[in-house]
Amino acid sequence: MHKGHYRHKAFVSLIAIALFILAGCVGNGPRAVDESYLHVRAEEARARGIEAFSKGDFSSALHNFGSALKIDRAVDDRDAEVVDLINIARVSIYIGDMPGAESYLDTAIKVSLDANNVKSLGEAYATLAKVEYLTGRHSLALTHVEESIEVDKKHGIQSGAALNLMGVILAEAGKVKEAHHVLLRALQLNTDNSNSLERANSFRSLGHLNDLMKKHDRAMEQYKMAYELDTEAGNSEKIAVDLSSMAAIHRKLGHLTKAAYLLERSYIVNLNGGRPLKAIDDLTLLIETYSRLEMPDKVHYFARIKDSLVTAYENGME
Amino acid sequence: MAIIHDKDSRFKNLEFKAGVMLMVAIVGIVVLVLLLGIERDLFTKKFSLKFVAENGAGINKGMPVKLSGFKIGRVSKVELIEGARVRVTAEVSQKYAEYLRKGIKANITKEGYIGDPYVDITVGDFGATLLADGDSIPYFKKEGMEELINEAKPVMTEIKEIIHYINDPEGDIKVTFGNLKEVSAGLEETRAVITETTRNAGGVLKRVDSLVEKVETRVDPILGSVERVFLRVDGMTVKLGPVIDRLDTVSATLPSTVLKIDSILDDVKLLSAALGTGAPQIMDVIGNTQETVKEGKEIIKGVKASWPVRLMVPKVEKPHLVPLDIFFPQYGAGVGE
Repeated sequence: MHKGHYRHKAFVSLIAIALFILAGCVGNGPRAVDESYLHVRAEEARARGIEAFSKGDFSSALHNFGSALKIDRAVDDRDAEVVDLINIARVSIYIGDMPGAESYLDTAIKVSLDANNVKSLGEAYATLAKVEYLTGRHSLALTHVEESIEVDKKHGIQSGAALNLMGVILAEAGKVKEAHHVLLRALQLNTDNSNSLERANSFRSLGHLNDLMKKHDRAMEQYKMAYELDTEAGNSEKIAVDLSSMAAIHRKLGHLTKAAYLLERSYIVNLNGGRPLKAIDDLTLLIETYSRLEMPDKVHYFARIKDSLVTAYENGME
Repeated sequence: MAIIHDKDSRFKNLEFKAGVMLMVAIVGIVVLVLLLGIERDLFTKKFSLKFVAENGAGINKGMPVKLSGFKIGRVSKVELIEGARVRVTAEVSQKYAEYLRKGIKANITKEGYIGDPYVDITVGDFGATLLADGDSIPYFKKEGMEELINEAKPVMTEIKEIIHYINDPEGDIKVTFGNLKEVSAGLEETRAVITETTRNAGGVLKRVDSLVEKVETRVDPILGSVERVFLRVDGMTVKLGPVIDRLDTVSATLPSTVLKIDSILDDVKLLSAALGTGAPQIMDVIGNTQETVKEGKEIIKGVKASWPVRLMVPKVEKPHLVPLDIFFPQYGAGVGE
């Protein structure tokens, strides 16, 4: 009788506890921290920063990411702080501030390790590897990109961008076969993830690699693929690079008329994209190509354009 | 007991008084029964008439039987017989027997359109033989209100449809009225234009008169030139001979071509008419579909937000990070040139 009584009480208590827990689960309202005004403001500043970056307004992007960083530090949101630091570092790379980028990334890695923010840690290592590659420290870059891939792998994440970077670094180090293998993996991953930006980068890197391996037809196909994706994205600088890369292959193969056409396109795209130095480089190659084609009229015509462009640039044209 | 008996005079002849009261009551009851019996024709001599109806609906025991609007009896029995038909027996007062002759008919009718039902006996031929007790008379069904309503129903539906058709703002009638309105407005405008044109024509005619005078003076030399032109035209006519022959061939094939075009135009007309008729429905369908899709989206949103589904739906990652973008412009310099 007593046993039954206690069992009944225990059963009722268990039901009450279960209901209490379930009520908490069912509660529709988001957590209080999500509703925090400061978190929303930081999120908005980050969104503004990304928008400014996509428009090429790096100054505004840095300002907004800086604002987000201040807020996130004020509320001690370490995950968000790491994201802000990586964003600032990536914009710094674009404006050529490599030491600044490296400093922000060091902090990001430290905070990320403290906060056990694994996803951002991989991103931070990959960005650091990019800085190191761009500053000529290829060995260190390879170490850090491998670390990035390893950290991601441990947590079931795969970054097509990190693989692209690894492929480029390996190619630069002369490890062509390894690079080719890694870049093919990157291409597959970026295709699966519908990441057209990195997919174009994979094609471009593979084109470069095949060009190195004298597989010109294959290289041409891959540059064409990169060119198509870049025109869809409307990235002027990448389009010009794709065009001049294809022109370089044609020049090597002796297809000078085709090379001249592509160089002319590349020069126009660079000039209109505000890259006069690149446009001057294209014109130099174009003039050389036309002289090999024994077309003096064209040579004089583009030489005049080049001279006026050089003069304008020396006089302060941006 | 003794005190009451001795002093209260009301108790004198009490037994007699009670007996009188009882008698009065009994007589009253008997009179009442007699009156009711007379009322219900219980004491009149009767004879029965029978008729067979296809359906017993609305026929009840006790239902009055009337002849020329006078009650002559009641329905005494309603029974189901072979063939699922209904045999009705009516008890009719003997005094009305002289009116009940061969040729009379029975039918069920109502007093007014919504009154009580009764069996109506139609008057027969007065020269015919009198009916005997228990004879059967024919029954016919008279169309009542229900039948009228049933008949009126399709008519009402049609009227309703016609009214809808007339009132339809996209319908032919409304559109035609609209067009007539426009045409009449156009006619008004045309009348005004004609009046204005007539007024202007007066002035123009005056000018033409003066011009004709001037032309006459200049026409003579022109006529000379015209003669020369005619001579040239003659020569050209000869050359035009073969061209005209070709035109003949073309004109021969033209009717069949015109017929084909006509049939195509008919098809186009049919198509545009069909589209014109269907356009509002198509717009409705599109509208409904859009609304359904919108509601569907809201439902899915609601389901996704509800527990436990929201725990199963993967969270969409916001683009927090600037893309790493592995792009190195130096690749464009070309390899090993």
